[in-house]
Amino acid sequence: MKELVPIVSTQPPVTRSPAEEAFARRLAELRAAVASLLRRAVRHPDQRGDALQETFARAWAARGQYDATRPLGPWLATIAWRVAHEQERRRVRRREEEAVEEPPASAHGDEPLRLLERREEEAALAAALAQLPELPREVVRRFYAEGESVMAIAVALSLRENTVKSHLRRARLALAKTLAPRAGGEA
Amino acid sequence: MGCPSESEVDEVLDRVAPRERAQAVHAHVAACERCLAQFGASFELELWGGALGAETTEPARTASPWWQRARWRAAAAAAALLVVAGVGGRRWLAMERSTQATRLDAAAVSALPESPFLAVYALEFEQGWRGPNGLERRTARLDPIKRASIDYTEVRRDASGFEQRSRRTALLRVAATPKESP
Repeated sequence: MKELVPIVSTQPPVTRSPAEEAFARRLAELRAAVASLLRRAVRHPDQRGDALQETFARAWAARGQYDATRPLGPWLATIAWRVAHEQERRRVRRREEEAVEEPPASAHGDEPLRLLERREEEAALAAALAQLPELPREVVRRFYAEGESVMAIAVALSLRENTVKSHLRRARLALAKTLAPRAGGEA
Repeated sequence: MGCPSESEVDEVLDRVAPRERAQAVHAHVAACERCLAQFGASFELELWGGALGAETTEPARTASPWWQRARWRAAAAAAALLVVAGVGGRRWLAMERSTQATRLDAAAVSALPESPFLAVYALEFEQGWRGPNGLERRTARLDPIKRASIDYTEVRRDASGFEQRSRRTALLRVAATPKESP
């Protein structure tokens, strides 16, 4: 994948407010996560960079609509999925115009199908989470869903920080396997 | 920067790495196909708060406060209320009309051949006159159940005082009351 200069730069220009600064920082922290999602959602590798840029550009343009009391990750993921769908639709349309033999659009360019895939992945993740023992599950919930820090979780659950990190690491490996099978996409 | 080690990535994933270091790792992983294949899914968990126990958020929905989000529900509820009120009102009116039609039904009136006049023009009427014995007033009401008779209230006021009596009489006798005036 080619190196891209992010539209939402982490270098603060003078005109940004503190809230915009914080938003840009949070976006930058989710860059690898969105890249991973698009790696699975966009089939053509050349288009993943464009999709990544467009996702962040749209998120930045819609920053006024974001409710800061809610987690940024799912909000950004929604935009990324939408961008991926549009990329796929455009790609299929272009291929059809060029009269290159291509599977039917409904095979992979269909938004309902993508939505279904997303729901399936959510369900698979939730199922994988449910299989974890109670303590790691609670650690994961607090860390990813509630946005608590390792230290805060350690205090709340009366654990050592290293124990929390171990739980998180093992849980991440288990949960990441749920997302892994689709990784790779089309070469 | 080169590809980060697993421990460096874990620090970033645990959100305990220094900010600059974390940003560099994020940027590198996002751009490096090898790192993305190795660590991408772990980073991606940050996007799946809904499946991991948090509320999922749609961009459009998170933008507005609850009363704006509930606006369409209020409009739908008002519209539904109007429809229900309209249907109910029409039914009530239809029922009311049919009831009145029954009350004034010609067959029912014809059952009282001696009182066609009263049956047509009044369900309630009042008569009053002033004479040497004082003021006298009668209020008559047609009983919808016992149609052969009329309940009436007679009020008499003279020098001796005030008197009120309720009575029931046959229709023809009430119809003859004007003759009693002096």
